[in-house]
Amino acid sequence: MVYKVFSGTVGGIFGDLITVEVDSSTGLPCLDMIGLLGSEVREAKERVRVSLKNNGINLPPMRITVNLSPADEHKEGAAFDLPIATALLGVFGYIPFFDNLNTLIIGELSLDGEVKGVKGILPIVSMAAKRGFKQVIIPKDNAAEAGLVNGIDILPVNSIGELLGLLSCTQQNGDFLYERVSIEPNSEEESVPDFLDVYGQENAKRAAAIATAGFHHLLMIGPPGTGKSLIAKRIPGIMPKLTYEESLEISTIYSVAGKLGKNLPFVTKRPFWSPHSSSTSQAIIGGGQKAAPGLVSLSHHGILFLDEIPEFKREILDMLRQPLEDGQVTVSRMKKNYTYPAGFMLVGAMNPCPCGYYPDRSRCNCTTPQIMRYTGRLSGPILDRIDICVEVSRISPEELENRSLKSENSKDIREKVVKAVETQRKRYITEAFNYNSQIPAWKIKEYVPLGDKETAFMNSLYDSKKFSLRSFYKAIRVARTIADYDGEDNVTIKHLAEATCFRLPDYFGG
Amino acid sequence: MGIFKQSVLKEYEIQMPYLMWMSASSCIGIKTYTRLQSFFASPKEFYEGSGAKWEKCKIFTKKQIELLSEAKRTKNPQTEYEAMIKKGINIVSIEEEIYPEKLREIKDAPISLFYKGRLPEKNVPQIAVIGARACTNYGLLVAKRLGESLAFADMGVISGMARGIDAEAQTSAVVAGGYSLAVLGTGPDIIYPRESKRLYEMLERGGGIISEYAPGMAAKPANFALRNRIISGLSDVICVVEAKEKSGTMITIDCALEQGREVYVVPGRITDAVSIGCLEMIKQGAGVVTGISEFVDEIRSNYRVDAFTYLESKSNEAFSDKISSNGKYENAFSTMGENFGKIVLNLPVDSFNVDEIIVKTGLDYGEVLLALLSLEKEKMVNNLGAGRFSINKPCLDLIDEFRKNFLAS
Repeated sequence: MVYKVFSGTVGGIFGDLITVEVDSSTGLPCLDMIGLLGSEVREAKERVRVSLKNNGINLPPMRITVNLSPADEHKEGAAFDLPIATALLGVFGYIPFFDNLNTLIIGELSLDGEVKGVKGILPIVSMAAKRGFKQVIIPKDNAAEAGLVNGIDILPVNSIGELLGLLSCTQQNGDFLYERVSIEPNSEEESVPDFLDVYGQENAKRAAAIATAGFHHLLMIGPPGTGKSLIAKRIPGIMPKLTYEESLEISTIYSVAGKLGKNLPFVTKRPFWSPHSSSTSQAIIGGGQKAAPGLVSLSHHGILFLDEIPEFKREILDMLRQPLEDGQVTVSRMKKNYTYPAGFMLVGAMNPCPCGYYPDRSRCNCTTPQIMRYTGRLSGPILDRIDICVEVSRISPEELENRSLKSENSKDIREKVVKAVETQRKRYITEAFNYNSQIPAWKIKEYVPLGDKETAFMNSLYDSKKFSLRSFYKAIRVARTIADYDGEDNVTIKHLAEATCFRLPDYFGG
Repeated sequence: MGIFKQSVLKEYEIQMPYLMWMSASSCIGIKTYTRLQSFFASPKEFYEGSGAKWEKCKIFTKKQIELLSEAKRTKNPQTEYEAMIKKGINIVSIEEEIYPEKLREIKDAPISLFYKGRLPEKNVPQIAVIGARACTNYGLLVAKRLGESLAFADMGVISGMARGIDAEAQTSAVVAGGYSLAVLGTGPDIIYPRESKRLYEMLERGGGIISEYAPGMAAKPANFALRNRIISGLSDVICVVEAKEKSGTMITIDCALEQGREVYVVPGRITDAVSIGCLEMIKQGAGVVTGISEFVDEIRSNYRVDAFTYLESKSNEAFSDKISSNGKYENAFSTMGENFGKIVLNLPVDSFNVDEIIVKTGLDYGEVLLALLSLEKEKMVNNLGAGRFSINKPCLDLIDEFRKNFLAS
C-alpha cells in the first residue's frame, strides 16, 4: 500500500513541489529511502523513527520504502522529516481522516518529537498557494513568515503530539489555524537614525536625498571621519515605506538565505547591508555550494553600502556590473543555475587618495600617479553606473559651533522622496521601469523634453566639460529627479546646472 | 621704448588696423619694423606715407615698394581689421605686454600674431611635441602619452597641427584637459590639413591657435618652414617623437638650437626611416626621453617657477584682463545681491566644496549653489564635479579687489 504526502523545497527563490511516497510491504524489516537524497535527507530516517518511538508510535517490522520524487532532482535540507513522518503515520493507518492530497507539509524533527523551524518557508508556501493547496503544516517558528502569503490555511505545529492531534481531527481544524497578524512596515521608525544628526553636510545630504528619490547609485568621496557612513546609514530612513509586494519579495530572498526566524518573521524595513571590504565574491554576489543569494540580492529594494569601495577586490566590483545593469544576478554552481533579484541602490564611499585628503593639497602629499592608481581601482563600467557623486568635506568643529545651521529631518525628506517616487510611478506607468535612473537613453527625449535654452545649455557643457555622452545623459536623468524632488514639472537650467555639480569629479575623468 | 610702441599703447584702437596691415603685407619683418621707427612716428603714418616716402628711407627694394603700394590700393586696414574681429580672431603686436615673452626674444620675432583661443600662460612651461606626418603606431602612442602626461602636469603642448605626431599630441593634451597651442603656417582661420578640423575646433575652446600670417592666407610650402621658428620660439623644450633625416622637424630643431632651446628626442627603432633623424640627434648629444613620467618630472624640476615672478605676472595678467574684458567682471558682482557678496567674501583661494561655503556663510544650500552656478556662468569659478569648485585663476585679483571694495562699503 502506498501513501502520498506533499512537501516542498527551494530552487533559487521559487518553491518546488516534492512528493513523499511511502510503501509498506512484507519482507525483511528495513526502512529504505530513495530519490537522489543528500546525506541530511538520508539521515531523516533515524530522526523520524526515533521521534515517533518517543511519542509512543513504534513502526511495525515491515519492509518500508520511502521515495521522494521527482527522482532526478537532488534533495537537500532537513525539511522532509515532518512529511516523511506523516506519510509513515498514514501508511500504517494512524490518520484515516487526513486530507493528504490538499496539504503541504514541511518541518524538521528532533529526537524527542519537537518540530523545528526551517529555511525557505516563504517561497514554498507561495508555491503551495499558487498550486491550489488548501493548507500547509509548518513549524511554529515559521508561522509568521508563512503568514505573509495570503489565500492558504496555515497550521503551525510544535511537536509530533500536536501533529497527531491535528491530523486526527475529523473535520474542522480551527484550533490549529494560524491567525495572521497584519504587517506594518516600518512602524519602528525610532530605530532608524535621523538625518538631523548630520551637521553641516547639506550638499551631501541633498545628494543622498536626490539619489534616493530617483534610485540613482551614489558615490561619496571624502577624507576619513567626515560622515560618509553616517549619511549612508540614514538613507533607509528616507526611503518610501515598503509595499506589501516589495516586502514579500525581500522576505522571500531572506527566507531562502535562512535569514528569517522567530525574531524576524518577515522584512518590513528597507534592507541595508554594509559588507566589509574583505568579503568574498560568494558573500556579495551569491554562490557557494548551494548557489545561495548574496548581499546584492539581500539588498533588493534597499541599500548596498560599500564603504572604502576601492579596497574591495577588483573582481568583486566588476562582478557588480550585471546586477547594477539588470537588477538581477544569475548564480551558477554545478547543476544549479538560479536567478535572484538584485535591484539594490549602490551607495559607495571612498577616500579620494591613499592619504584621504586630495584635492586639499595643503594636506595631501600623494603623487598624481598614486592618486590615479587609487581612483583607478574603480573600473570605468562601475563608474558609468554611478549617477551621483558628491564630496563629503571636512568641517572644523569651531565652524560648526559658530553657526546654527538649519537642517531637515528624515521625516520631511522622506515626504518629498515619497512624492517624487509617486510622480515617477505615474509617469512611467506604461513602462517596465519605475525610476528616473532607469530611463533608457533612447527614451530620454520622450520623458525629459528640454526647451531650446536648456538644450543649448547642455550642448555647451557637452562641448566644454569633456562630458562623455553617457555622463551627458546621466546629468539629464539626475536633473529630472531634482525637478521631481523639488516638485516641479519641467526640467530647467537650474536643475541641469545642479545636476552637473553631482557628476564624477575630473580626476575620475568626468 | 620704440616710438611705435608709444603710439600703439596710446591710441590702441586707431593704430592696430595699420599695424595689422603692415604685418599682412608680408614685406615687413622685425628688422625693417625697427628701422622704420626712425622715419615714421606710428604705423598709421607709415600707411599714409606714399611710395616716394617709403623709397626715401632706403629700406625697401623696388619690388617691395610695388607690393606695398598694391596692398595699400587693395586693402583697407579699417575694414580688414573689423572683419577679422568679427571672425573671432585677435591680434597681438610685439609692443603689447601679453605678447609671448619667449618669442619676443628670438632674432626674427613676428611683429604681430593673429590668434584664436588663449595665448600660452606666462611662467607655465611650454613643451613643443613635434614629429613626422607619416609616423608609426609607436610614434602615435608616444605622442598620445606625452600629450596626456604634459596636460596632467599642467604644462602646455605646442605643435603645428599637422597630421601624425603633431595632431595626436595636441588632441590628447586637450582631451586630458590641458592647454595646447597650434602654430599655423596659414592664416589663423584656415584649417590645414582639413582632417584636423576637429582638433582645430577643440583648440578654439580648450587651447589656442596662433599664426603670424593674416587671416585668409592660404597654405604655401615656404611658410611652413618659417613658422617652425615660432614653434621653437614659444617653447621651453622641444621634444621630437619621430623625424626623417630631412624634414620640417629637423628645421624646427635647427631653429631651436639657434634660439637656445633644449631638445629632447624619443628614441626609435633603427630600422624605421622615421627614426633616422631622431637617432642622428641622439648621436649629436640631444636629451633622450627614456620614460614619459621621468621626462615630465625632469622638465618640471628644471622649469619651476619661482614665487616672485609668478606673482608679478599675475598682477600684469589681471591688469590686461581687465582692459580686454571691459569691466565684464565688475558687472557680474554688481548685478547680484548681498548674499552674493557674502559668498564671494568667503571663497577660499584653493578649491572648495559647497558645504564649506554653507558652513562659513550660514546661508542655505540653494542660495549658495545658485550663487556659485552664476559665478560659473561668468567663468569666474570652475565646476569640478562632486560639488567641488575652484576660482578661475585669472579672476583671483578681481575677487580680491571686490572683497576690499565690499568690506569698505
